[in-house]
Amino acid sequence: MNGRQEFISVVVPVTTSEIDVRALLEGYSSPLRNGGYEFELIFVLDGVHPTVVQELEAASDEFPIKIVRLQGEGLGEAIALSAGVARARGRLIVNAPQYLQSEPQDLIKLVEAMQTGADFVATWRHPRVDPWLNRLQSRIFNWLLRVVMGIRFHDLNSSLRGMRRQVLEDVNVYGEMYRFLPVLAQRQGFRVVEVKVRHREEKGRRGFYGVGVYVRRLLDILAITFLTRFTQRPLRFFGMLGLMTMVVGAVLCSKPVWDKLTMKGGLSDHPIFVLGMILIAFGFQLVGFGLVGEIIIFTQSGSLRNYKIDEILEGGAELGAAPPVERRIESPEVRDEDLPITVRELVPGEDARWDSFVHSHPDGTFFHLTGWRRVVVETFGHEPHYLVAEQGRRWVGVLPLFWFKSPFVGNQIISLPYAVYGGVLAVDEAAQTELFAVAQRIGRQLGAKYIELRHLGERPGERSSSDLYLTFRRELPSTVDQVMPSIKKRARAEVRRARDRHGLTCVESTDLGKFFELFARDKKRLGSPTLPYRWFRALTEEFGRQIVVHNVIDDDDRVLVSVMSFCFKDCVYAYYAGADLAARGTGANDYIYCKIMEWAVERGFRVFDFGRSRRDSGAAKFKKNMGFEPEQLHYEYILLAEDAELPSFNPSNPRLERPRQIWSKLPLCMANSLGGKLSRYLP
Amino acid sequence: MTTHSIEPIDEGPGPIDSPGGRVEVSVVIPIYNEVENVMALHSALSCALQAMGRDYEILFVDDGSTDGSREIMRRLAADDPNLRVVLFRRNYGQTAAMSAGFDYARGSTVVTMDGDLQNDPADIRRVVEKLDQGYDIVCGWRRNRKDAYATRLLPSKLANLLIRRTTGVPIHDTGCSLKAYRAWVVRSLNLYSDMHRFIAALGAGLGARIAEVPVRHHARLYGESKYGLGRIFRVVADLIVIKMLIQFAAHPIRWFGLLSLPLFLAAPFLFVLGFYKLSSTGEEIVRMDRFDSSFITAATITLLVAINVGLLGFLAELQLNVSKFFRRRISLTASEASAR
Repeated sequence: MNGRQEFISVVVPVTTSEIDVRALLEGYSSPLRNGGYEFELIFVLDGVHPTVVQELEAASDEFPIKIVRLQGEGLGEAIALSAGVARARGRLIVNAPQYLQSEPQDLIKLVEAMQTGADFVATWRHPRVDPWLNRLQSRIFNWLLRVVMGIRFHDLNSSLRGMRRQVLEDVNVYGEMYRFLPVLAQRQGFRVVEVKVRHREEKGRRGFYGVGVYVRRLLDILAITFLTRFTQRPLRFFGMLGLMTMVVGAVLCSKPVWDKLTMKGGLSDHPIFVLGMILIAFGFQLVGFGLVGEIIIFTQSGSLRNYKIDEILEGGAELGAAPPVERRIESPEVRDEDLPITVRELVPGEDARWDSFVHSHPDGTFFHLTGWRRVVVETFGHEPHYLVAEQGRRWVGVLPLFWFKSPFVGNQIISLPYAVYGGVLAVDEAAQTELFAVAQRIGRQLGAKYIELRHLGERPGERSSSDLYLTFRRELPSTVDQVMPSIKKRARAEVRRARDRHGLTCVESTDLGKFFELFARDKKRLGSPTLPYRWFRALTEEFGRQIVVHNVIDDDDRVLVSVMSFCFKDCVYAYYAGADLAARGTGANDYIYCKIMEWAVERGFRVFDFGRSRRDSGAAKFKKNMGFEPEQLHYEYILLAEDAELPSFNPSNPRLERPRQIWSKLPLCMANSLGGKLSRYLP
Repeated sequence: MTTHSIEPIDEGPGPIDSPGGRVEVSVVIPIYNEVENVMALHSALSCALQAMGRDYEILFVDDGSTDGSREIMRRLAADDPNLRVVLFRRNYGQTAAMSAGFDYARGSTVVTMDGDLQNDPADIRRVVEKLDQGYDIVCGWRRNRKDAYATRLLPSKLANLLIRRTTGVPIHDTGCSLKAYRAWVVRSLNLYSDMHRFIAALGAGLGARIAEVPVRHHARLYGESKYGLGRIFRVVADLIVIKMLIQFAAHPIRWFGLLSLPLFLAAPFLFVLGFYKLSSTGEEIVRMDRFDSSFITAATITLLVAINVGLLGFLAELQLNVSKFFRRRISLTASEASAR
């Protein structure tokens, strides 16, 4: 087995400052070291814990430590865990508690279980050594779970768990559901095993919790039961309940009604009849709830991918260049090239194939990946239409589209929103023509005015186009030393000034919060609404290590400039940036891009993409100074409505001068929250 | 044998197109613990399909078998270029297997069949030829079934009658899994839970043309039959949903109006009863001066709940509106249909 080389990421959510950092570090790292594993320890700080940070930083020479700070406090383990996993390098994740609840040596058991094929490892602290009261409560909780749900886990409260990264990608965890992760993982089709670990003295809370805690636990159990059993068929649950109440109600009612109709009733009232009628009516109501649930499920059924695949066997592949089956010899051989091109929408399960097409197409960019689609849909909820052109079994082209409707830009189709590049990827003009034809049909059905295609390179054919935007790309030099000479003299002087006079340094960062703060403030200053924080969070969660944030910091660790870059194929896209006002006159801006270029060269990237700028804007000048030649972007438009005209909603439009000024005067918090909402409507 | 796992990206560039030529007919077969049948099934299918003279693929979807079916399919797939096998991680049920089959089928015609050899592969030709006459869905009809009358045939007949009546789709044998579809139909449907039983009805809701042909039926050769009797409640609940989906999906408020109708009718009736109050001797004395308060109370409650149920319809409308479900469906169906 080659499992020994597997890289382990240990994620430790920290919610209090009163932890024994040293013991944790020793405890978690020694078994992994002894076992010969490569690993990292990721501490996710939920809240501000300066002493913990200090101790961790002091120990960072001895141990491979990463620190992740969450924005806000009391966000809970679920969020902490996903934030930690987003920064994790390994495919195997160990989620470890902030107290050493069990013998650290047993960590190895988890890792070994995962290496022998388990996707999720739950632990069972056995024998328990904590006070009998805690033990009793825990027993009752787990027993209740077993009875209600028929699930065999002994110790769901044990927060030492091992999992493959994909478990967290597929299982929807939020809030208290964290506790039930093993149950959810099992429902999703992952292989879940339970291992025994030796329990150590518990340092956590003792005795009884508040009443609220127990009520919440009970509700959690109910919710999880409902979620795992009836998610897909609410009517079966509500219908059964409703039917039962109706039957009981009907039985109760029958006697009084019968008496009334046969005129046998006495003068007395019939309280039992009122109860019966209430039950019947209530039953109807329950059935109604079930039906509403069914409609919700039905309308969302497209996103319910209800199976997981181990592998796909392509028949006959072992035969290599096998002789064609007899049947083919009789009929003249049909080649894919002779078949008509058909266009259809991407169906679930084809994402990997789409991405590999984008990878292998020379014009494919980062934004064409299906990850971009997921992030846009998740954050803003725009409607995707990802078209695939097929010839026989061969894919000959793709065209990702989003239906974008907003009060500012009207009704349109964009390829791709929030991106600088997009548009069609096809192997020839025929495929492109077919894709455009279907795109136009879809656009007309949706009532769109035009289709905007954000092409980077030229595509065959004539369409209306806009020459507003330039892009700045260039080949990187082959060694780090050649980066400095490749930028213009003035910029070079700025870089030196930043480095020598102001003592700035550039570091890789995982601090999304700081980046967002700078980005949002910058945006406001320029008078445009900012993208919301959740956009960036979704991006980093989706793309993981394909996204890097660089910060320039001064002596006092103040962040002056922060830049978020995307890595794809051989190219680094420096895409989002934000600078503090204090960065002015320090050369920090020139410095950071120079550093990112060096970073890219070090890692073997060959192209640096500085992103688009409007013609004659300040940014364009800055980029030229950095030694980049402007390149015309081929943004093209297919007009659908007769009265359609090219869009003019961009910062150069003089009519927008006023609103932009007003926007820049708004208080920051208001601009941020408002901008986050507005940006949905600004492509 | 190439095996590619379906994981998200990060694998770098892969092949754009898969080996093999084009496919006209995809035969999708869910397999769950059919170790005795798989070999026979594969050879019978290959014979029947080669005799048809069209390009075909056989798509086995293994629903987490644990009895060794997987190993047999592995061996089969190694030798037969027309066979593809999708292996599930665990048992997800027939609908999931079916929808995976639909997701991975490449043919312009998709045929579904059971894995237990109760259908005759030679009948595939019949359903496909019927489809070519201009239909979008063709269902098999097992005219003389080889099953026990009391436990399987009678309940099935009753269920079919019920289904025919409620959905209005004139199919005699919903339970027959031998069916043929045009690819656009199966791509427009998102199957979940037990919905595969009602594909014809759902397809009719999409405007598909439906036909039926008689097919042969054999008794099970090996293995256990996987259906039982005790699912009446679920079938009825499903039927209510299907009825709602195909008839009222665009206007759920009408369906909820219908649901609240009995309550709306009951309320005035109870009011009327409440105006009578009888003497203890049972003589027919109508005393309008004293009401029967329990009936009046019940009537009021019933009326309120009726309004409540009606209002749930608004919630359903809201959900439909927000989800843009119909927009998506229309555009998908249109682009699929144009690809025909």
